[in-house]
Amino acid sequence: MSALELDRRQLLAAGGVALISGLIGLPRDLAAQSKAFFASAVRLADKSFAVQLLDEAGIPLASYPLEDRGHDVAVSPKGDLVVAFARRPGRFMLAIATNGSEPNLIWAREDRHYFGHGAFSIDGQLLYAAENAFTDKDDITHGVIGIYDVQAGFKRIGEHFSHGVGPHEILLMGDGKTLAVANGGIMTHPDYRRVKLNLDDMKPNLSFVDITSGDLLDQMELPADLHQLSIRHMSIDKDQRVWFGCQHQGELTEEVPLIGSYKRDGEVRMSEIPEDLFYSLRNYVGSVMCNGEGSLVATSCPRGGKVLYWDVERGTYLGETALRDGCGIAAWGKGFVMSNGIGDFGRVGLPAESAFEVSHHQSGLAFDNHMIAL
Amino acid sequence: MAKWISATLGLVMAGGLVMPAAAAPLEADYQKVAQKAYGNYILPSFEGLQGQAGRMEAQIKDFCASPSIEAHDAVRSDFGRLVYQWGAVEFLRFGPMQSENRFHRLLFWPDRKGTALKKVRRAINDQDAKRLEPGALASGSVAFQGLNALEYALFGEGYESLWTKGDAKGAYRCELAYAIAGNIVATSSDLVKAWSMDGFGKTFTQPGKDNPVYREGKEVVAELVKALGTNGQYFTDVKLLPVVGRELRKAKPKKAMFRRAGASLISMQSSLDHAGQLIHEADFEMLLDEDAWWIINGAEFELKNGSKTLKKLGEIGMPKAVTDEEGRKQFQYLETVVRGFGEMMISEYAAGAALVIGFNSLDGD
Repeated sequence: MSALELDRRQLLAAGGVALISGLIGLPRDLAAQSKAFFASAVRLADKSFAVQLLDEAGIPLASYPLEDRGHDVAVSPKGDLVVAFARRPGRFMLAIATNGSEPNLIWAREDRHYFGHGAFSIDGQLLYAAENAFTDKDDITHGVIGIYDVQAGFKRIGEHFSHGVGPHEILLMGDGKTLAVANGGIMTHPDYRRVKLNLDDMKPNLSFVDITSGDLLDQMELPADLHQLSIRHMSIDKDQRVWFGCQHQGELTEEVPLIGSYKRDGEVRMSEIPEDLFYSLRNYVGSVMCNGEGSLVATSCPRGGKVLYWDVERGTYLGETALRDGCGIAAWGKGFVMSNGIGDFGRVGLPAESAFEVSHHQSGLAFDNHMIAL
Repeated sequence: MAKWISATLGLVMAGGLVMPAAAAPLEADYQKVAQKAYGNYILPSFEGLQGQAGRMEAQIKDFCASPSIEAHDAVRSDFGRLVYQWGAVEFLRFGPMQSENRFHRLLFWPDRKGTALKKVRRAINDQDAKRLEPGALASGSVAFQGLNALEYALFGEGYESLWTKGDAKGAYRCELAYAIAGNIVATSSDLVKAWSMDGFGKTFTQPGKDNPVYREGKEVVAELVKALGTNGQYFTDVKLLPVVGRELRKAKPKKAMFRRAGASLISMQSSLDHAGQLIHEADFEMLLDEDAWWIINGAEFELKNGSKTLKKLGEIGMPKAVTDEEGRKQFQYLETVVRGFGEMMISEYAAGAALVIGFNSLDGD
């Protein structure tokens, strides 16, 4: 029996709360010995926040405390570094080397805060973070993409304009030269924490930004009657089509499309949500994730307690999986792994409409909005 | 109702764990709370806003006809009452309030670019009579339609012109205030109509499979609980922290809502009073087992502490309390109390009443 197997067996035997309570003292060795497959921000049973590295069954291998609530996690191309981002208007990032070395806590510039998302460059040398640029003089803010030198201890070396307000998820396109930026359009200022300041005149967009120059290469704006449809999360399919999920800021009875896709320099395609499902989604889509092949898209709708699937070729609805308070989705082969706010981690295979099978449960823990495969 | 809660709550308090309920309230119980909330609190509160806005409009009309310092003081008192009544509905931001930008039509705050102020100032300079025509403001910027626009017209810089004889700008300014008050009457009347049983009132009180928003009574009650949680958050994040700041050097007394009318603390008091009123009028307690009534008592205790603190802050006075050492301590305590109240409703009450308010679905991003 290898050391790894012994550790895993001991962990499994410990289980549940005992495992969690002992975890923070153990993690780095374990993380080094056992392979982490997924990462997610979490709220622990004692209401503190952390980022966890998980094995393929969702068993936590390491738990790193966070200053406050996290949001998404970015993973380097080699999978040797993960960075957890503070949820807006938080000002920290925590960079964790999966080899178990000491994590690196990075603070935002005085006049910037994070929006919970970021992406690595194709060579892993640079990290790009969605940020809010603000001043003390007024309450007007604009979006920027902070640029960090990984080798220099995540020193901030510059920024690009996000070409919109309230940038949220950032993805590196397949060409390695373009960043897709979901500018949610919602203006916030840290003086008012999470209060939305411009719902009457918000203008969300999906921008394609040259990773080197910061130039705007293409921008998709929704029609004026959908200006309150905040574009938040994205995933890229096998044809480099960007799938996006929205959060509508208008009334619940306004039946607006919440899911769409856009191929650069092409036409936007909004997907039709079946009428009998619409009411339960509560105008809210959480994570958007393509499967490993980029042939299927899953969109989590935690307020509706379900994950919906979409055909990438036709943009049509395929089916759903019930998942109470479910939000985190990571690609896993042709299917997905998912997590929820009541501590469940599990898998959903194909075809769509398969059930969510819990492989591990952490009592009292809440998985936060996003999960990522390493 | 079955006695299941005592065992559950021990766990809730100890480790934030929520156990499945052995027995939850019945659908009829949730619907009863929804109906009581509607009949005893929501509709009367919107009607109260409509009524107070009407009185404000009439008061301004009289004031403009025979302006004086004394009459202006009476207008100020009436504006305070309007702010207080606004607090009764300020946190009911679902349904009709969410449509047609009604919230921002009534209160454009935080006004990040000072838009309301700039528009009022420009209007006073231009003296465009068309702007005073009924309905004219409603078709323009939402920033120029509500309480903070009215506040600036009545109490902003140069308000003495309102009663200065022969001052044409002052006379126009008074008429402009009257027009804005008229717009507030119109918007609040729309809200009363939208909340009627021919409108959202039915949606709210009759959940069911054909209901476009609520399929179960539980969802309606969850909406109310979330509204109370949001009320607490709005209190700290908009009314308190931007003004007081975490450190003295971050204090910004000019960011206080309704500071020109001297109604900042009235606005805070209203938030606390009306949160308590909703809980009481809707009979939130009936969804809890007797052993869990402490949750309601705890929430009310927090609100009472908040009120006591506001009284102390009133004695120090605004804006002094923002920079005064004792005032800052009181504000700090007030923040703790209000956060405690919000947490109590969202966590303990929601668990006690077997409501499903998930971590991700409550407050995602």
